[in-house]
Amino acid sequence: MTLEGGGYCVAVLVLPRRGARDPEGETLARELRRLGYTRVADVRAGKVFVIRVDADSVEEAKRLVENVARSARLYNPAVNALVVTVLAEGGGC
Amino acid sequence: MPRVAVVKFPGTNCEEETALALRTHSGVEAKIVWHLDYRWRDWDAAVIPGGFSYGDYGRAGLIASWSPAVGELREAADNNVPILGVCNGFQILVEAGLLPGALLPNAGGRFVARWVHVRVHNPRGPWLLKAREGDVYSMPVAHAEGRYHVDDVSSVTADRPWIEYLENPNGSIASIAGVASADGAVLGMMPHPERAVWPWQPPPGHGTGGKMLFESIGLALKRGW
Repeated sequence: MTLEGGGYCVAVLVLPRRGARDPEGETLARELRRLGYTRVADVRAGKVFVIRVDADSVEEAKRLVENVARSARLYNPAVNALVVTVLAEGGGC
Repeated sequence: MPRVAVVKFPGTNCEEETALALRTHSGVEAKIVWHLDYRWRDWDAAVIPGGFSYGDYGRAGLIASWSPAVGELREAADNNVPILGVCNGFQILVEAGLLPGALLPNAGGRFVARWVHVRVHNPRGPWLLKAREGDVYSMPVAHAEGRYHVDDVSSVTADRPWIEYLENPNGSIASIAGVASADGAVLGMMPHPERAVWPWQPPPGHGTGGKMLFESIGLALKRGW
């Protein structure tokens, strides 16, 4: 494990849970449709954290960040859905 | 009497005091105009006041910049109609591309609400008619997304009229508090001049620095600039 400028860039998406009201997303969807983008069905507005971690594999990087997101409550399971996805291997985030 | 539109979006909340300052200190007819009803040809100037248009959803000013009012403002700007954007109004003008740069979340990570001193550079155009180079004015700021950024700072500061914070409250590049079009007809600024026009507004150590802008536009619309 040698991090320096490397490692893995992992995105944590914190979204409103499906079915939960989301005034920001609903407003953006409505205004985009009004602009003429009529095929826009839904927008959900959330938060993104890109976390660079030291890990030995994509799987480990993802598992590690998932664990951080859950244990440090980067998302609130009562209201949020969580998506964790590895963006890049070898740093660069 | 010159007529000035105070353009209101859903979530604008500084329109009443802005219109009042225009009536009392500019000597113009000022009306609050719903953004969907704004037609640039009907007005001698436009002010986009502060607030939280569309709840700052997406980014401050983003959704308002999709309003048909912005098309009207763009035409107004092309026809040298004076336009002032204050706080959220500045954010809207920047998101609409009527002024360069971006307004990012404050460097301190907090909403800042405090009185500041600002210095005017390269004053020209209708909004800064009564200002001289280097003049200092005081007025308050109140914003979460006021950190001005532009990649090429000299493109803003070299020749355009611009406004500088003496005490930078948000980490703005080059302490930029406001920027204008090259001729000064379109001006955007984070500080609130309408909160610094009556003597009971400023705390000790500050003054009614916003009066200069309102007196300037009144004079400009009556005598030219």
